Amino acid sequence: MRAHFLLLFLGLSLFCDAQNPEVIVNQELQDAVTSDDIKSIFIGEQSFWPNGDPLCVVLPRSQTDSFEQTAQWALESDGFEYQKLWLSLVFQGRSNAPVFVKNEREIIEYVQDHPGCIGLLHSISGPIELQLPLL
Amino acid sequence: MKHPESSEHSHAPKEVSLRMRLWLQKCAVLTSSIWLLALSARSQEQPVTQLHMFGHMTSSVELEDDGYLSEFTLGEHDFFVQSKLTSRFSFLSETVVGPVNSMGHGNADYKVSIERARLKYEYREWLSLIVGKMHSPVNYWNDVYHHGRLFFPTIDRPQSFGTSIPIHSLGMRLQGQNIGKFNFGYDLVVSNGMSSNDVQDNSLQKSVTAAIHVKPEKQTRISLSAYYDRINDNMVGTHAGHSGPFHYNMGELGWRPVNLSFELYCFSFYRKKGNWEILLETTLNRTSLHKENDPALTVGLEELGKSSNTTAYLYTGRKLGNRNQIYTLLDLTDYEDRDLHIKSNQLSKFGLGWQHEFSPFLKSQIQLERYTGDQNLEVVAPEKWAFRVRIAYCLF
Repeated sequence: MRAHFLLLFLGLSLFCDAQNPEVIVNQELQDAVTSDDIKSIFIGEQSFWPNGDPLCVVLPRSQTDSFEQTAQWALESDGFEYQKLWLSLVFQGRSNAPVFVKNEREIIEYVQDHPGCIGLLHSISGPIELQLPLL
Repeated sequence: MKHPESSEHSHAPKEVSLRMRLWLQKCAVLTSSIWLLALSARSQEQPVTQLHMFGHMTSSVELEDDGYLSEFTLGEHDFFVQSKLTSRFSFLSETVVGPVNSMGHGNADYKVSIERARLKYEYREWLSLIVGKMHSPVNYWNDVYHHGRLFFPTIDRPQSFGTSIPIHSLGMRLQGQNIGKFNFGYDLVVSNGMSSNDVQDNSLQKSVTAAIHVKPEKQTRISLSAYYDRINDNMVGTHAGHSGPFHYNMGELGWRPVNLSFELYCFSFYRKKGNWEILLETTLNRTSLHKENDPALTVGLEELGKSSNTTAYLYTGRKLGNRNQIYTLLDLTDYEDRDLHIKSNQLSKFGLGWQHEFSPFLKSQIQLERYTGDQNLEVVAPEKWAFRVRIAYCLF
C-alpha cells in the first residue's frame, strides 16, 4: 500500500514538473521567486526586476510548440490569444514588445548575452548558472 | 502714457502670469536637459523598432424612412511604430491616413494625421514619464483600442466619442502601473486644452486628467477618471474629437462665444473570463460658464449654461468555439438642452453582432443595428436599421 502511495506521489511530482517550464534569467535575484511572479512577467504585467533593472522577455516564434506551451502556462490559453495579448499591450504603449527568436536554443543564447533578459524552456535545459528555481 | 490694458485691476494677474510663464520656461529647459543627458548616457544601445499597419474596410446597408442606402467605405490606415530606444526609453507613434468625403476623381483626397507621437521614460513600475501627443486615458476604450480597429469589440466606437470624450492630449503624463497585489495604476496628464491644435494653444490654461485603475485578476480592469478643461470661446480644436453635428459651430444658431468649464467623469469596467467578455463605459459630463467671461456675453445664460450629461455603452460577448464570438451592444446618450457646447440629444443604439477571427491579425465583424431616440431635440435621433460588415487587419 505504501509503495502504491510512493509511486503515486512520484508520478504526480513528475507530472507537475512536466507542467512547469524551466526558467532562465540573466539577472541576480536576492529573493525567492514564485511561478505566479514569472507568469505575470510573461503576460506583460511586470517590466522591472525587484532591484529596478528593466527586464526583457524572450519568446520563441509564434509558429513553434514552445510558444504554444508558454501561452498555455502563462495565460492559460492558446498561442492565438497569447499573440493577441502581446499585440494589444504593445499597441497600448503599456508594455515593450518581447524579443522573438527562432527556437529554445536561441532563447538560451539571447538570455546569456543580454543582462536583464528572461526566457522559458519546455523541451531543452539551459546552463545551470542561468536556471532560476521557483518556489 | 498709460497703456490701455495696464489698469490697476489687470496689473497683478499679469505679473503672476509672467512669473508662471518664466517658471514654466525654466521647467521646460530643466526637463529637456535631463532627457538629453539620459539619452546621451544610453545612446550606445541599439534601438529595437517594430512597424505595424492597421487598417479596415466597411460595407453597410441602411433602412430609414422606407428608403435604402448602401455603401462600401475605405477606412483609416494606421501606421504604428514602436521603438525601444534604450532599456528605459521608448517611442511610439500612430500616423493615420484616411479618405476625405469628396466627389470627383480629381478630388479624391486623403487626410494625414499624427494621432500619437510620444516618448516614454520608464523609471520603475510606479513611475514613467511620457511627453508628446497621446490618447487621453479617460476611459478603457480610448486608452486601449486607440485607432486599431482590429481590437474594437464592436464596429464603431461608443457614441460618447462624438460628444464628450476629449480624444487626444498633447502634453506631459506621469504613469504608474501594475503596483501591488491588485495591479494598481494611475495616469496624471497636463496638456494643451481642447481649444488648441497640434501647433499652438495660445493659453496658459491647461487641461488636467487624473485616472486610476486596478486589475484584480487577469484580463480584468476597473477604471475611474476625472478630466477638467476650459473651452475658450466655445470652440474646439483637433484634440476634442467632438464631431461637427454634435457641437455648436461658430456662427451657427445657438453658438455663444463664451468660455466654458468642462468636467468629465468616467467609469469603465472590462472583464474577459472563460467564454465571456464584457465592457461597460459610462460618462458624466458637466458644462458651465467659466468664471472668466465678458459679462456682456453671458447675460441670461447663467442657468442655461449649466448642464449634466450622461452616456452609457455596454458590450457583452460570448465565444462560440475558438474563433467565433457573438455579441450585443447598447449605446445611449443624454445631453440636456441647457448645454452651451453640445447640442441636446437623446440617442439610443442597439446591436447584435458576430465576429470571426481568421488569425490574430485578421478579423471580420457583422453587425445588425437599430437606431432610435428623441426626435424633438436639437440633434434629431435617426429612426433606422443598419447592417454592417467590417474587415479589420494588421500587417507587419
